[in-house]
Amino acid sequence: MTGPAITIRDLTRVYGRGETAVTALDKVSFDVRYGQIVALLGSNGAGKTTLIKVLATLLLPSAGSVTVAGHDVVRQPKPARAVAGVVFGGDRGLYGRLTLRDNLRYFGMLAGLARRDIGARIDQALAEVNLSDLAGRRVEALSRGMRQRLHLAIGLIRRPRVLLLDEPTVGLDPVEAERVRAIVARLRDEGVGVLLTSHYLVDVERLAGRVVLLSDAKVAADMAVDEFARTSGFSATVTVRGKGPVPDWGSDPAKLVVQATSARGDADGWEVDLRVREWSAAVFRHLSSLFDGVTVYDVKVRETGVEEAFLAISRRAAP
Amino acid sequence: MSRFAAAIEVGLAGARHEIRLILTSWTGAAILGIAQPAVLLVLVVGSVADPAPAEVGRGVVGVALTALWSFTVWTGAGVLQGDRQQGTLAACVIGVPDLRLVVIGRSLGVNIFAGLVVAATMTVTLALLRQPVRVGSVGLVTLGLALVLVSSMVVGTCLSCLFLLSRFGPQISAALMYPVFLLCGLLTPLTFLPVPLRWVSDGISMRWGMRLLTEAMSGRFDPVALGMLVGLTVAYAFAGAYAFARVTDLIRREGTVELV
Repeated sequence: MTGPAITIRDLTRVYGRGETAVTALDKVSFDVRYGQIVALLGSNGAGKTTLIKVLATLLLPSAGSVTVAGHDVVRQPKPARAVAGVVFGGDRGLYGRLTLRDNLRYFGMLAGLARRDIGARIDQALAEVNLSDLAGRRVEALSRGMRQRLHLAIGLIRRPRVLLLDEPTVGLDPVEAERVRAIVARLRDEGVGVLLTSHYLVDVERLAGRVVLLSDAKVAADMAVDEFARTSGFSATVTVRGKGPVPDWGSDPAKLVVQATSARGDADGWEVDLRVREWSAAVFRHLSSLFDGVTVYDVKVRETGVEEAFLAISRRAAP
Repeated sequence: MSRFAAAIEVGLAGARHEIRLILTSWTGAAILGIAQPAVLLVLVVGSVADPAPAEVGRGVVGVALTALWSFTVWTGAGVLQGDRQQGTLAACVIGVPDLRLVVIGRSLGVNIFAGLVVAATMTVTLALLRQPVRVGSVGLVTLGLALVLVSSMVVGTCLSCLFLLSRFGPQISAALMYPVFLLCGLLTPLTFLPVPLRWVSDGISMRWGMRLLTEAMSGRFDPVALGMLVGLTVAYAFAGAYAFARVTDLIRREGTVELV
């Protein structure tokens, strides 16, 4: 497989006309490589769903170009559909009264599979998501996690080279969510290019290699996950619980503590979250010096994650 | 595999899928395919003043077509509405096979099922009523019924465009149902229609299906009815194919279908 799995160049999508026109995507450009998971982040209304719709060939772009596995989604929608699996989260999108096998049989036909191939592909897809034993059961009798794995099986039945995942772990318990993540990670390792949208940023941290952040219809950030986490301006949060006079956290000349946020303060003591630029020996020494005359009960250090970076960038981008 | 063979395979897969869906929910099918024709047949046969075979035959044809059309056209048209409700419509729209083939196949499934159920219901009901029905020409009646089923499948497929365009497809199609029945002469004789409206019924294939079958029950062949039924069905098919292509293009431009 050569070339990017997904190429998006100056993609613009405008809904409506004239004064009521709304720009959902404004000159968005990025790529997804094979064997890579790119997380598409953004607040509600940022344009994520519009972008997935364009990639799934359900919506035409107003301007710009989009290719999926080298196929232009406007001029060659059928080949693009044949190689791209689209997986949604949630309970909808399935025929509840039909069995898993019958659902897969129909979706296999929609994926362009010949009848002689469908049976084997169904068995394979069910095995990949560990649902083989339930093939003859009605979908309405499945748990949410099982339905989500069925969604994945539907996405896999065409052996996709590109996978579009829209909230794949929404509403799942931690065990099922981890199962779904393991399947997605395996697909990535097998060379499938994956574009993932999720509000569960733990999915992003566990799976994605890169983050594209949409804000106000534009790409606000496009970088590796580690780099994205650092864009918050702090690399760790130190939570300190203590009693006695509250130290002056920002007293260091090197400005090691970026921000201090009191979470609680009462007769039993206080608790503070300190955002530090770098969790280092210098910070440790600085904090220790502030603890003179203070009773410290607890100190916790947490590395800055995607969620904190996402919140920090979103706050900065907010009008 | 040739494109034609692939198209047939898609159509048959769609038909099998739709029959599976109908079989999992018998209530709707029982109302449309069993209760409706049985009740209508009891009312119509019981109310025929002249129990002459021709009059009874005419009543039976009217009931059969009303039952078939209300089952096939409106159920066939509604297959995409069901998909919209379940969140599976987008998957159909962005499927690799042409959406028209998928919908035609699913309408075919509805037609096969409806034809069998309505025929069985009417046979059993007439037997229970001890009402003999004289079929003048079995061949012509069979041909007429086959053409009626094809025509209703085509009309159902055309109407399903409504469900791609609007969330109010069920209301629009329900509003159309009884005017169409009246214009076809299925519920009342066409002579009851206001004169300025009668030309409209000439453009509805089922009006000619009714005439073809009524004549066939009496053993007569009506070439005008046959020609009009076939011609209008072909015209609907071309118009539907064009409309479907335009509508699928429109929904991609306007984004009227949600992902789930």
